[in-house]
Amino acid sequence: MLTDNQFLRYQRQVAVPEIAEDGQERLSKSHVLIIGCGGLGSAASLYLAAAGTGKLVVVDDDEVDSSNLQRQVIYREHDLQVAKTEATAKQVAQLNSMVRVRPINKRLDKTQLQLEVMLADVVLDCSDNMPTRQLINQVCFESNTPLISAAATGWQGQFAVFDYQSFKQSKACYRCLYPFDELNNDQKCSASGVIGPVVGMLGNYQALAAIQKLATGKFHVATAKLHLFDGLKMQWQTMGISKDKQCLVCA
Amino acid sequence: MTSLEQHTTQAHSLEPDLITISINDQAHQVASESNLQQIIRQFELPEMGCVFAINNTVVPHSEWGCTVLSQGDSLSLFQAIAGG
Repeated sequence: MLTDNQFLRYQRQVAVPEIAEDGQERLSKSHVLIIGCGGLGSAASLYLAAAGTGKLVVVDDDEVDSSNLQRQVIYREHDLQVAKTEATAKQVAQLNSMVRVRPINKRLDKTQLQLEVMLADVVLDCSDNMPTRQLINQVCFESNTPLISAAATGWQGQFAVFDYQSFKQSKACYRCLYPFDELNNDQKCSASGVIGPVVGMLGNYQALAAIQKLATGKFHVATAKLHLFDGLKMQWQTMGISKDKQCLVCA
Repeated sequence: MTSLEQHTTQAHSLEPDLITISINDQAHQVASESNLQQIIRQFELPEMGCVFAINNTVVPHSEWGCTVLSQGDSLSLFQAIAGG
């Protein structure tokens, strides 16, 4: 049962038939692991907190820099040089005191990541590098935890949901799509340009997919597909992903 | 007769036929029975961090050498990104 406070606060979300009171209650008991508190994590954590997600665990080892403020909209000028996870936790608490938030101000090794993934209902990969993305994919696959992945650079965004809870063997994993551990330097976020609303859109897509799964019990978006966003044409394109029979993770 | 037409004519008699495919929406002719790896080499397409899709389905890296293109296929390539 929702409390009166919850009902009043979330009424516009509860009024959506696919959510309703049951969905809101499921969401309020859900636990989301957000890895990376940059542009993706900023958008996703704000929307998931506002929506009344039960618990957010936010992971990052970085501090807020003035060059982050152009797109990492959760931070304020007075957060400069503050740990991103601490600043995120503070903003989330101010936005919605019903949400529990636990900051982890470091890079997790595999064992720590396995534990955090095990505790989570869904994982949002909001990280900014390929080795981390491959590790998150492997751990999510091994623990049957849904992975909601997004990335952005320049005007481009890439988004994919891997529902390891339901499809496991039949569909492709993240590594089937990207079987490499490093990218060229010029593709890393820190070294290249990125438009704020593009990374924000991708983070919002992650929050939206998480709300689908947590509140309605399933992803309505097509899973194991690559959704490509072009911020210049403002168009989405969808690509199928074939399962790689030689995949190091899922084959 | 252009060199391409000569090549096509010869191809009919001795060599494999040419087929037309598109690479990122631009039409190109390639030998029929070409596989994706051969096309990547022929057009010197970038490989590092790159993903190739035929008719909007990504081809796994391990299948580049055994995936044969057909007449009219649409090949698209794009870079993986990791920024967050």
